[in-house]
Amino acid sequence: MATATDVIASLKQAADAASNAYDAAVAANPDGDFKALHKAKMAAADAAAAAIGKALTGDPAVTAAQKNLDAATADLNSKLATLKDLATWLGLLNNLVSLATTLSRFLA
Amino acid sequence: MRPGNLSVAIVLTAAVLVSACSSATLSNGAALAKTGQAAATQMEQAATLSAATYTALKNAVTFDAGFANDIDDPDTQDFLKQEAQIQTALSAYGTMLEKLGNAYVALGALSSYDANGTFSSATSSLCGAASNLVASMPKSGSTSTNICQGASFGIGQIASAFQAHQVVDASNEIEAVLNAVIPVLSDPDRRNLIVLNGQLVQRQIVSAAKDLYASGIFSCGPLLTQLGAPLNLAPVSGADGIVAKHANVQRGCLAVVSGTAQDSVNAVGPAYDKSVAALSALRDQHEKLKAGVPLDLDTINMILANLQGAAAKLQPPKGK
Repeated sequence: MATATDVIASLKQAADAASNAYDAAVAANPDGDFKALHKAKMAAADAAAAAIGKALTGDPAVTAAQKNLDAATADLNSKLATLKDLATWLGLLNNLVSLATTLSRFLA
Repeated sequence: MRPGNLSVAIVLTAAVLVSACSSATLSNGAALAKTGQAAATQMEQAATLSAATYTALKNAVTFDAGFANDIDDPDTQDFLKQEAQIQTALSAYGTMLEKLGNAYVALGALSSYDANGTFSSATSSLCGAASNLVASMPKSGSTSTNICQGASFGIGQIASAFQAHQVVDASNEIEAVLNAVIPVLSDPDRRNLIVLNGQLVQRQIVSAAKDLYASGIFSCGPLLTQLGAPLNLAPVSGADGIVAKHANVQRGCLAVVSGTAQDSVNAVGPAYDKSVAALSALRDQHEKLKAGVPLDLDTINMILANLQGAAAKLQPPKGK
């Protein structure tokens, strides 16, 4: 059974993946429109920070949704190197953020 | 040997032995204090979110929001709020480790204080004055120029021994604090939370720098200088203009920037673990000081060197 720390590690990995996607998009086209990607990136970072903050104040929680999130993170990481299309990135990120948001509700 | 001379010989021999032990304790205490202070400072940096780091995070995240034309994003605001709360939660560790560092400073001051010299100087003045007084008296019969000859030596050694005893007491007190602090810092769940947050924060800080680099704001010059150094080559004037025109060179520079950024994120965990290891090593040295055994300072210095190397990697890449 996953511990609260495992769940938080998954949330952090999701945040890393979102940041990597955002940075890769900026590197590919620094003058592009990154508003939607930025929203997705910060939503993932916020979900991870909220879970860490909650656990650090002595109120940890666990959820079974971790596996779905891990799979989504792994999928995004594996595809990141070959993805060139912003719309595809955004779709993947939205799925990821949706899962992260669902997961963070368990910790609320 | 007459009984009186034998007594003097025994007292002087004992004083020399006490002096040797005291001297070793004091030098050990001073060395332990120096490394302990460094370890406590490094641990504090690894276990807390400093004001400087939070400011760097806030600036990076705010810049990024502006860069993406997403300045009012609620998740960005909430993220910074969450990190501010985490900073408050971790401040308890900072206070504790700051006090540990202060305790080592006090141990260093105690160990380095020249009690022997101070006492000797004071008693020497007193004995000099008393000797002059005795010599000036009629029929004193004194043939010695210093009536305290031998005695001042003993007083100096007693001062050193007392000081050494105080150093051992202080060392024991610090060791007791370490015994309480190390298990808290070593707790796997707590350690992981602190490290995960450190990585999350570092990742956001370097993200802004990476994005700026990709936008052509920062020079690739320092990196090009490093690459050419083995062959004594230096970049030509206006090298960045050339980089901007060549996608392959641009990609190479960006790859190194990204790698350095990732290194700084990856360094968070080792910096924390090495800090805890340094504190654990110090605990062993406190035991040695208590037992009067020579300290293994080479080991501590090696751990500190590793720790400083890991801490250096946490700094974001610098541009000109």
